[in-house]
Amino acid sequence: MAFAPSKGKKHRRAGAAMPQLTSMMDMMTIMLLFLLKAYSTSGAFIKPATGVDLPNSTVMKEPVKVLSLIVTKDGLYEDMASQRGKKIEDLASLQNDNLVELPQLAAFLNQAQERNRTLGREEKRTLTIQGDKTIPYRWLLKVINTCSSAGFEKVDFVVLKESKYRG
Amino acid sequence: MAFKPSLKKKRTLIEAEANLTPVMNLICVLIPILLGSAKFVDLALLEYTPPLIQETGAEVGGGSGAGGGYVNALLELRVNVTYGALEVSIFNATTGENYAAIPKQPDGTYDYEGLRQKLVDIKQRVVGQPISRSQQQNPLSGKMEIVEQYKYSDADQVRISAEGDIPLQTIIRVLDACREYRASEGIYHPLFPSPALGQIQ
Repeated sequence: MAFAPSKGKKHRRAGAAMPQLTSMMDMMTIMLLFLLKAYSTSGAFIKPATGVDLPNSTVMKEPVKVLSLIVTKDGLYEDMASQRGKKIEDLASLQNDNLVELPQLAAFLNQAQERNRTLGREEKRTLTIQGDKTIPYRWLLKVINTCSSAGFEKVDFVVLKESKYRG
Repeated sequence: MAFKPSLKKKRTLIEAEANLTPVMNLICVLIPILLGSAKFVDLALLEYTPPLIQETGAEVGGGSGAGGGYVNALLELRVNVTYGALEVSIFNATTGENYAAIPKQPDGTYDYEGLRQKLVDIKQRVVGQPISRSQQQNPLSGKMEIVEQYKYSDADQVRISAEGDIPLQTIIRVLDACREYRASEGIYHPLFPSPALGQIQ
């Protein structure tokens, strides 16, 4: 014999289950505030190259996006959106004391300027170097000499700001 | 006699909950945008203008602030970074009061603060105050700048030479020490902001 259905069950409503969003909102609000604090208009343009330990400096000038090179212990690379692009000079030419200028780099810089001229872009005579802090000074001088001979009037170094408010 | 409570008043209280879904949607869009533009590493740019070389091999100016002008006396400030010390000299001196060697500290690091103190001393004692001020257009930026004339035409220049295997970090520190100093009142004053880099042969 079947039992009579419970009268209490007749009044229960089948409501839609809602996830508890309050704790998630708390977390999201904290993240939003943190990210707003770290917001930077220049952060999207210049990023430290991967695998390069940049030197520290007390200089305060904001970096700008121009033609950039990456100098590491392995060689000299083209900067492709903060990733190592094409290898321009290998270790052998950087270590060669008979070379005052780097021929492959000179060809690369002339090519870059020629490309700018062909595309009708403004010819910028500034170049930035993302150099590892352990690279020898003589490598750096070769890069600077080559850039200077190729017509670049300013060679800037990308560095890590040491203290935000200088003491 | 008390009245019998009305049966209609037995309303159940419904908990009202805010609909957070649109807010969540907005935040979920904002977070990736802000993550992309966030600056977790503070980068800066250390500017260097290599000196122009004439056909004869003589250098023309040391950088942005070179005044040029009517004064002919030269300070010839040099900072040599050797493996053992930082050497500072003026007027091409190799000994005497116009030459100083700042040895490494006991922990093996260079004494950059000592270098800065020496350069401040040269700036105040030897270079002195500007003899005139004029407004000139910067050839690189095109902006008008106040150019100070000192009794030495290379009063804002320093020749930094280093041994070939000195790491880049040391050169950057030396450039920092040569660029400016903080006075006792907390204001930063320029020292020798136009460096020319070279190598010790």
